[in-house]
Amino acid sequence: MTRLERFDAWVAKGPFTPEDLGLYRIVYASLALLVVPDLTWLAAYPDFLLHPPLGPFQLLTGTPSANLLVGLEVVRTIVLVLLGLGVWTRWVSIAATAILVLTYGLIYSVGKIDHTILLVLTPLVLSFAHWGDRVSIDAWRTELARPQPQWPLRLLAAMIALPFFAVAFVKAGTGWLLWTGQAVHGQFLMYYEALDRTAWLAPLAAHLESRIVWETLDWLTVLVEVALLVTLRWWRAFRIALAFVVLFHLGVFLMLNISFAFNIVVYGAFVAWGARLPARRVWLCAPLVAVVVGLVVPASASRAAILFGATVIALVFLMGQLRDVYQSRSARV
Amino acid sequence: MTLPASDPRGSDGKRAARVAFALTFAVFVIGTPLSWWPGHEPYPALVMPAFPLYKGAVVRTAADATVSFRDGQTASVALDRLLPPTPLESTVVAARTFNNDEWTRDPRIVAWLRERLERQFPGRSVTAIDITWDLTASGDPSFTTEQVRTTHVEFS
Repeated sequence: MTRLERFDAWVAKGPFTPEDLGLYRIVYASLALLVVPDLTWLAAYPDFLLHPPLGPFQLLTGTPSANLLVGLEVVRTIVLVLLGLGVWTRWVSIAATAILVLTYGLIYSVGKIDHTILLVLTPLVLSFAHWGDRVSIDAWRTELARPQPQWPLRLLAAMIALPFFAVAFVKAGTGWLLWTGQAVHGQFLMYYEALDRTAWLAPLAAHLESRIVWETLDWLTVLVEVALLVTLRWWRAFRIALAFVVLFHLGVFLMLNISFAFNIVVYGAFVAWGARLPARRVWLCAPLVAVVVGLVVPASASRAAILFGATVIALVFLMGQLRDVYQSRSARV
Repeated sequence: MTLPASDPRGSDGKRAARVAFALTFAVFVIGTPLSWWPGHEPYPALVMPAFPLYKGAVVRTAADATVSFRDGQTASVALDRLLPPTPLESTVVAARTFNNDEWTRDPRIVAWLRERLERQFPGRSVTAIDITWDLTASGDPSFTTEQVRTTHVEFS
């Protein structure tokens, strides 16, 4: 077998079913509706305060008007709802990525990029996974019985693993693993003292003086980030590593009050939704419920809820893995 | 009906997978080093925040602004508080415009800053502002604060 053939065989292997992908499409669209940002604040920024990042947004000639920004928010909502409903799924998926690139790119033109790229790319990648084939309006109209492509999930996994590995490399290269400094502690103090992130467990962490504990957190951070690329080859190992990444994000949220809810939404692609939930059309209400929830519940509360929900799923998954190991060892005995 | 979780693809599927992976890797390889170059991170790009240390410390660039009034008094104000509200990190947003001296030569920015200061201090006549950018470290008492830049602007 040539290397290319081995690669083809590797990307073709996977445990995902059309039900998993169909249900995840609804999960993705509903949660994305809760985490996408408000755009209208950008209209208050004069042109000379815009510093678009390297890329297509350098073509921006001025601050978009409030009306245009409202219009983009409406279009974004409609596209995400259609995605959740599974209407013309392939084209709507591409449109979802396009509108997310556009809306995030506009707000990042003030000179600060938040790293939401995985959330943005997911619909485009999974459009190739035929994630509209189940639990969708498309499936209601035409029953589709084609095989489930696995390679888009493998690609999405690589898209998560590669940048995490890169940042682990930077951390290790700039001294995170040296005993001379505790990077997580330094980050915590910066957020706690300078940026006033004092919620959740931050006040408790402020009393933690042990250098060993903080240094351990430095090492665990780098380890978790490296683990995703190392385990990419095996689905079970990758999912276990991803579950630990969710716990890592929980820790970061509780101590530093930094929410990576937009990443958490993407990790949901690797959950076996079809094994846990019945693939019923009633779930198609979820995106519409999300629109209403998004209007009444503050975004910060939604993000916290997403993180805590993901933590429960990760813990249940990890306990299931432990149970499997215990049962297989008992069977051998 | 649950289909087998395999992926019997034809050559089109294989080709699509190979092209997609190659493109992704190319985007990653090009975008990642650029993102390490301050002020040159591209968007869209496949990058995550790295939180690098600088000289072994977690550093932050922050600005202290001292406003002078016609009556001779002064007052301090956090520069990022003068910006319109944003859900993004306002210190970073402020630094993109004000952490250099070019803005002092743009009369629109100077006039805008004066108007924001007068809104911040209603009823008082603003005559000048001094903005000092420092690099400070968190949790590392051995790190000496580095002064990056001080800018003085008189409002005519």
